[in-house]
Amino acid sequence: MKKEHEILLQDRARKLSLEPPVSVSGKEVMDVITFSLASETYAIESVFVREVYPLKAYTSLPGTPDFVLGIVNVRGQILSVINLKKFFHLPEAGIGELNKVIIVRNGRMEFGILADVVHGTRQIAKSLIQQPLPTITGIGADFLLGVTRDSLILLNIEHMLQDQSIIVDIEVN
Amino acid sequence: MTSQDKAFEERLLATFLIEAEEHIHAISLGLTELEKGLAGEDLHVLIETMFRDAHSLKGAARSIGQKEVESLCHPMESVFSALKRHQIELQPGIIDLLHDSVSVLSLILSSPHSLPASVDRNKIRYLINKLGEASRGQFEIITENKETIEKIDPKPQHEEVKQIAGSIRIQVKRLDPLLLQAEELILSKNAFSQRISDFNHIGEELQTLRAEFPKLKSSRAADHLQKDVEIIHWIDGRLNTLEHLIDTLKHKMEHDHHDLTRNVDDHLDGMKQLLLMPVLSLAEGFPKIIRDLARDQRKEVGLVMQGTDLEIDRRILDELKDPLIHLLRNSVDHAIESPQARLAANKPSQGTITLSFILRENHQVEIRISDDGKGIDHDKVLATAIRTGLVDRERAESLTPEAIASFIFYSGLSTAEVITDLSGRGLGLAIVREKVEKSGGSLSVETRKGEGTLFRIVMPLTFTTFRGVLIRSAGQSFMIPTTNVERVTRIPQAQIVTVENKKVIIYDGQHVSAVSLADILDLPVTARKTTKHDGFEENNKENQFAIINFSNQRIAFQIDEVLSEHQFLLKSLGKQLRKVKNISGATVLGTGQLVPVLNVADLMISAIKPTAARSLPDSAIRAERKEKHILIAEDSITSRMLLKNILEASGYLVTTAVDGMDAYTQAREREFDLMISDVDMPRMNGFELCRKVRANKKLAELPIILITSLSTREDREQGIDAGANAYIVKSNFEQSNLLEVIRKLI
Repeated sequence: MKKEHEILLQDRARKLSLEPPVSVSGKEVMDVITFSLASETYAIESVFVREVYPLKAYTSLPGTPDFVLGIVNVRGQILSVINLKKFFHLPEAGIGELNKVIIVRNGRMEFGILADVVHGTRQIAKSLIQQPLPTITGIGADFLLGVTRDSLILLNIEHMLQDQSIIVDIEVN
Repeated sequence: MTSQDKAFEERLLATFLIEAEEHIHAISLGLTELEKGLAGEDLHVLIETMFRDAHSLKGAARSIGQKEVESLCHPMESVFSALKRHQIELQPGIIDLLHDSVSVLSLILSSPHSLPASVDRNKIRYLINKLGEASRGQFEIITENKETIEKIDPKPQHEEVKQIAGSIRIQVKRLDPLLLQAEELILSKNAFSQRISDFNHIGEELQTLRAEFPKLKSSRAADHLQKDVEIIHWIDGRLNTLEHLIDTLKHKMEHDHHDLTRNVDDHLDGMKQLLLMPVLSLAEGFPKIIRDLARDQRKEVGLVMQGTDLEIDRRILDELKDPLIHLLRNSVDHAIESPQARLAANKPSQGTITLSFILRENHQVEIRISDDGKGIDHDKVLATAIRTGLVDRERAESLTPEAIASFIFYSGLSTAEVITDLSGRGLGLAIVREKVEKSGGSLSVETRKGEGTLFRIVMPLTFTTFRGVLIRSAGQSFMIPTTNVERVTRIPQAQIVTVENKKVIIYDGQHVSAVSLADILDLPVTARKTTKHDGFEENNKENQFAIINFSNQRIAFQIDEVLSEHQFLLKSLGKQLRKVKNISGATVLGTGQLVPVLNVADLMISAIKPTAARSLPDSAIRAERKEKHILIAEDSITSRMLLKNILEASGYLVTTAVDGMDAYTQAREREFDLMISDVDMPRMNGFELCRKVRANKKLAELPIILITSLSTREDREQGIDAGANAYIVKSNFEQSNLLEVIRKLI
């Protein structure tokens, strides 16, 4: 009885300890998706991206902060869409076509990010990422991983997904 | 420890917790079964099962280092082992001891990283000792309420624990997307149906062509143009073929559509079935709750459950759990009398609570919670209702007993100090009602003094049975659950009056307060073309109102128009929008359009609250919304305007001052949350201003940001010395930097 149980637990432990598959050169490069929003080009780590969805129609919701553009219907699932410019309190000069939603998620959080154009995926060598001053991009250091030489702004999407300030939880009182 | 190890440990712990929950659950169920007084083979099997669960839990706890769990499981296992070998006899005291141990185990596991505050180490030690003694046959009942324990009827549960044959465990998060997909298929089905009608249209066009064609043929034939006739003949032939093809295809499509419809409907039905769970899964914990509570209160209470094999949507069950537990607790707490009082009233000393689930038509379930306790005192309830102004004295006389009893659901009334008979639960019954109504159900109560009380809840079996009224307000569509819409009606302008500065409509011979839905929801003004400043249309057109009734309150909401009535499925707004005021979720219309579903409970609160603020001047409203108020001291008008614009765009309320003196005067007169000041200014510069503010008792704590072109270290130090909280140099001044500094300070 006891033995049986230990074998079971050991087996379970072994299975749990298996590493999830990592890309070949996982340590040195970062897979990102690049997109532009109002004349700026941003990048976010692809591991957090569920999919890119065309923004056909959205429904705005009264009573939400202005960084919430509204909600969209993604194959029956309702997702909120966030306007990063508003979330970061950036001026919205020349906001563009707004035709894509990048759905990002971790285990606990999931939402869409508004984008004008999604350019695609690429790999960025981590050594080429520079630590920027928050003042250059206007984005708080918490939400920023860095900037590349070709002025691609790397957002810390992992932190955004965990950040409490992005959650809307407003009681009527 | 590396982060990898740590992550692994976390995963291992999560796995352990799931396993532990299963074992504890099984033991707990087994103990309840044990109380029914099983014998022979059944008893043996049951004890054997519990023995195994305790043993497995012990092993699992040891392997992961959960010492408390391990140390408590060990003597439990010994007790089961001794029972199994008939070395000791089963007695109620032992069952109690095991129940207590299970409760403590659950508590420990609820906070696996450290022993929760609610668990006393002495208690654990005590239980271990007692269990040890029991397993050695040295158990003595020394519990002070021994009599109560023994008198508890061992056979109050007529319900058999049903095993679901060949079941598998699926995580809910894997099931939910499937249900979404199934629902999405409805849209495909509707789209297909639309395509068929498009196709029919093509067929009709072709028929028109075919009808016109013979005319053309005859006219051309009359002209004897051989070549034309040949071409026409050829086209005619092609048209025939085309018509035939379209006809065949149309039939096939209709057939396919029929199949698809059936498959989609069956599939969706099947998916909904997957979410159905027997009521027992919800109710199996109830006997223990009642048992523990009765024991604490030294009352004798039996719980009879009926119809627990009925299946209900898991999400509805989740919603039901708290209200039911609340009502059951209420019954034990307040309805069932003490054994002495019961005997004195010629009742059996043991009170009975009956919980029954009955299937009703229209996919609804009726849940009855009845007790044979003392009932609700109408006179007391009525007296309180009159005192709190819920009802006036004249009307009170004509009220039926049911109407009086229903006052207990009213939030102002069920507070502890108001009705002593239903005390201790705060706003409990009002919340029960709210929860039930939010899930599309209804709640009522019947009571007879001295004989008992019956609570009746009617709920839909699945979430699909919501009905809603689709309306438009300020150009946007919203769904209102039909249960709360008393009526949608047009009210002539003449029947809209103003009473004490508030709009009121005359409806059903009564005054009902009226508000504009667009105002309540704060819909953007740009979308409101037809409404005037206060949200009410002032022209002679009749006004459309939705009269909403919630928890005995009635408010008329003015809307643009009613579009239609729908059956809808309430969906959550996603993880990021945890709670949005006035909106409970959204639903997808047949066209694929998303429509927000209004939260009626919120709306009622919103409708009552902000009316006072709305008639106040603009600045007062802003203060009410708790916008931060910033004072800017800057002598350059350009810089001043720039700053003002930036700050206002970020939602701050801004007041400007032209120099230090002006700023200091204003700061003393009004309340500000923050001050931003230039350094170089006439009359009083920024440093002086800082010092003056710091020296003033009332203003000493006011955060100050100095903005300046002076960027030497000395200047900066002078600024800090003067008492500024932040010093921003103009040459690298950027609004985002400023905003960030402001956010840090206020």
